[in-house]
Amino acid sequence: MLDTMEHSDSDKNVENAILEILSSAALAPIELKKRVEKRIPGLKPTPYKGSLYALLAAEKIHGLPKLSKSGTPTKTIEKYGFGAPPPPPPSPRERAPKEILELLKARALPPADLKERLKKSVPALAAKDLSAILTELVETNQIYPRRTRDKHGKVTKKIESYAIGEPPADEFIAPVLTMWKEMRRDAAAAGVRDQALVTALLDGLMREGVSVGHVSPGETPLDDVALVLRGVRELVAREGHGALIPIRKLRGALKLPKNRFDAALLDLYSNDTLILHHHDYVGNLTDAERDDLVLDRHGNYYVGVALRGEH
Amino acid sequence: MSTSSQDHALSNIQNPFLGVVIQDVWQPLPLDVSSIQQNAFEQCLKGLDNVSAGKSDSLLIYGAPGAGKTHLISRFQQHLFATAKDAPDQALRCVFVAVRLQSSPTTLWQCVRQRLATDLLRQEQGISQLQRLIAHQIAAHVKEPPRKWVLAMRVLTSEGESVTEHLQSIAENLDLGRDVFVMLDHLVHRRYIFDATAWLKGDSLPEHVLSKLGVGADEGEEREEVARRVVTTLCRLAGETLPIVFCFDQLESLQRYPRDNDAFFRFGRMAADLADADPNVLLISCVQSVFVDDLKTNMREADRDRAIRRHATLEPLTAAQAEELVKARLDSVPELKALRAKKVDPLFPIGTTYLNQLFQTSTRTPRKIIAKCSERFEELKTGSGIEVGPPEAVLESEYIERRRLALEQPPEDSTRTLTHGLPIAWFTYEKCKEFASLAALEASAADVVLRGARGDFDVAICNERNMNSLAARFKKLLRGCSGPGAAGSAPIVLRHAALEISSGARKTREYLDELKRLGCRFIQPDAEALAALEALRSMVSDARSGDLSARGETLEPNEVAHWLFARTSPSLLPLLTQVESGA
Repeated sequence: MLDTMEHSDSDKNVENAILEILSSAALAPIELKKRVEKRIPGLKPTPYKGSLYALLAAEKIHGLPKLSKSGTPTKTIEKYGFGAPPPPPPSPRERAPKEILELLKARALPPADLKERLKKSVPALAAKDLSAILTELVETNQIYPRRTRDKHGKVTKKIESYAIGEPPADEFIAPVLTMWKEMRRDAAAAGVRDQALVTALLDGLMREGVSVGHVSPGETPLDDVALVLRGVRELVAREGHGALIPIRKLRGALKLPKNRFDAALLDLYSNDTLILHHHDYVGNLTDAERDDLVLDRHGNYYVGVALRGEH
Repeated sequence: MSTSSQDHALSNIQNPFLGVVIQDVWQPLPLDVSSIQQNAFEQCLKGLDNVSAGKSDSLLIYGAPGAGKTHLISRFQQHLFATAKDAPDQALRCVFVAVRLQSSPTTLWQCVRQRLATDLLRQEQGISQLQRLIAHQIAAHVKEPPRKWVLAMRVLTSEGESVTEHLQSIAENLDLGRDVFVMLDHLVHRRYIFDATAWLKGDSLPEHVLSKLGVGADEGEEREEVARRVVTTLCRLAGETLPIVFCFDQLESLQRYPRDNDAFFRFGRMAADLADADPNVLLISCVQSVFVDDLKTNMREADRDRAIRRHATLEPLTAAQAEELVKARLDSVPELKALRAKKVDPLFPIGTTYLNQLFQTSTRTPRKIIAKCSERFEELKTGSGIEVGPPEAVLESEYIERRRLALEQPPEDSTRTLTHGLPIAWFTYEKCKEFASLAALEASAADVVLRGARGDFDVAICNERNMNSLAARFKKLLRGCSGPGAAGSAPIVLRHAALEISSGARKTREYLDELKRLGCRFIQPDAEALAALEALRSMVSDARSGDLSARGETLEPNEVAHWLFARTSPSLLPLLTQVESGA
């Protein structure tokens, strides 16, 4: 009751001025005071402070603490903002998995590089937490560690980089395919036809306990086009209107075989549904990075995709 | 018409496709097809509407090299000028600042300060943006129409009527600080324009000039911090009555070497601070598509939320737009337009078939289409295939011209050349593969950290004209290598050879001697070496921004760096060797 009685019109004016000013942008304490004083000439510090604290107590405004170098909040207020205080930020341990996935969506990173980048966005993350999070993400197949190879080409224990998703099988299949080519040539010389060779190979795989599936006959290129377009739309909706989606990220999200993914994307570009942004500096890229891009039949490389007319 | 008579008809007609890269957004556009990049243009206008209503906004414009980023900004600037009659004072819709980010990430605020001051003092109809801004402030202060005060500003001189009193009230209200107030007073009353402009840009001024201007001595305060303060102060001056638009072009040029992600982190910090300076600030940042992902990944999330609220993509041309562009260029030459009027093919002499084929096979940017049509036109003029010089010829002529221009620069301008150029040259001449994080510089009084055979070492660029500032700078460096908590190793001090240390500057000399005694090397590069470094710096930066091209094909930064490496500069190499020796 006393509070209500003492809440004079001038207090209300001060409060309204504060609320109105903060509704357009968060401001540093000094700047806020100056703007309020400009609106209410002759305003004394005590009623100003009183109104400020009343609004803080009523959670109509909130103070954002200044962060220390390590990212922890200090006692100094950096800015005042409109409305109730935002919920406390999740702990570094909770934030880190999302940040790691975001970083790796952009590109595979060596452990040291990943750690350094993570330090910028989650400065207070403990080393043991990082190690536990990485193990957890690997175990749940969300990321995988790519290991170095020794001079004989054998996979070592040392982690070269972390990447999103599950490890690709291509590099293990490449020597098999080389051998397949040789054997196919020998088989042909011996009069064995391709069909017989493939049938024998599939039988052999089944005897090894590998179930050999078939590509669904219903999965036509038309489905790929729809799938790719839907994928782009979903990622654009997440990133914001007009956003550029790196082709690497789209490829990682859709997991279509490279040839089908590339064909679908070029098809959508040729009929002007999507925009492809080209890459002029492919000379700088590694083979793996170049392979992540889309190449058209005229030798142009594309790095990103956006929706045409989308803003 | 037979080919030979066609050749004859064209032989005296100027090629309408010459002139591809727009270098300066303030330059009048020779030709503008409004349907091209219309979406992105509308996003710029929407941004201006938002900030005019006091709602913060920021826009990231991205596109392929040659898609027209700088052209779009130029169109936006010229549209604002053309529609200024709709503004409350019928003269200015907003303050417009264009910043090409060819700067070191460690001197971003100084770069912005320099551009802000330059653009604020740009004259339109006999009055600068700054004078209009102050006219708006005074009008708001005395509750009168802005138009009246804009007209009053036009006739204000140092002898006539004064607005100092009004300006003082505004300075107090907005907490502009005494030095900024004094300088605005000089500029509004057209007093000491040359020196006041130099102060506003952040140049180091001799003591007697500071005394004449009536501002405090330069005490060797952290230059980036001072620049930040001046920029945000000037934003406050603009923000209260008019929106202020910052267009940042060539973000990728901030990188000292490929994948220098610290540069984007720094940009994010600066852009977020600028966005917070006032809700009337609109930030428009332009970057090549290839760098978008790196840019966003390396910014702090909180900074990204402020610096990139919205995106706009520069779209490849549609077939109709390509045709419109070619037609517009062809019709821009009156003799050709007259000749074309009699032809059936709407794209004579280029030909519809040729354009269709070009459209199908090349990347569809305006630059590529124009460059290819230019070649085609020359072929048709001469009646045979034109002899195209190798990219090396383009690079050689660019290098020579840039070095020539750099030789005309005043010695102070070599500060940017050194802070931005040294790491680029270091990388180009393969003296290291990457640099230490810029965070290492925060604790140091140096401007650049280079990597030598024995690890990282500091380089301080000390081009101060004011001897007190220079003494303060040397003193700070001394503290860094001998004071408590000092890192230990003495930095290398660079100062333009043309900038002498005056004989009366006793303290400055003492400090320098002490620095030398502690192992610091004092190097004075000459104008030739610095011009070579500037040519290298600007070429690598332009290549990184996709603005260095030959026949419409963007020259790869790697290709440019290799050429520069192979060319070897007899004036630059000794400087780099001198810096490197003993490091």
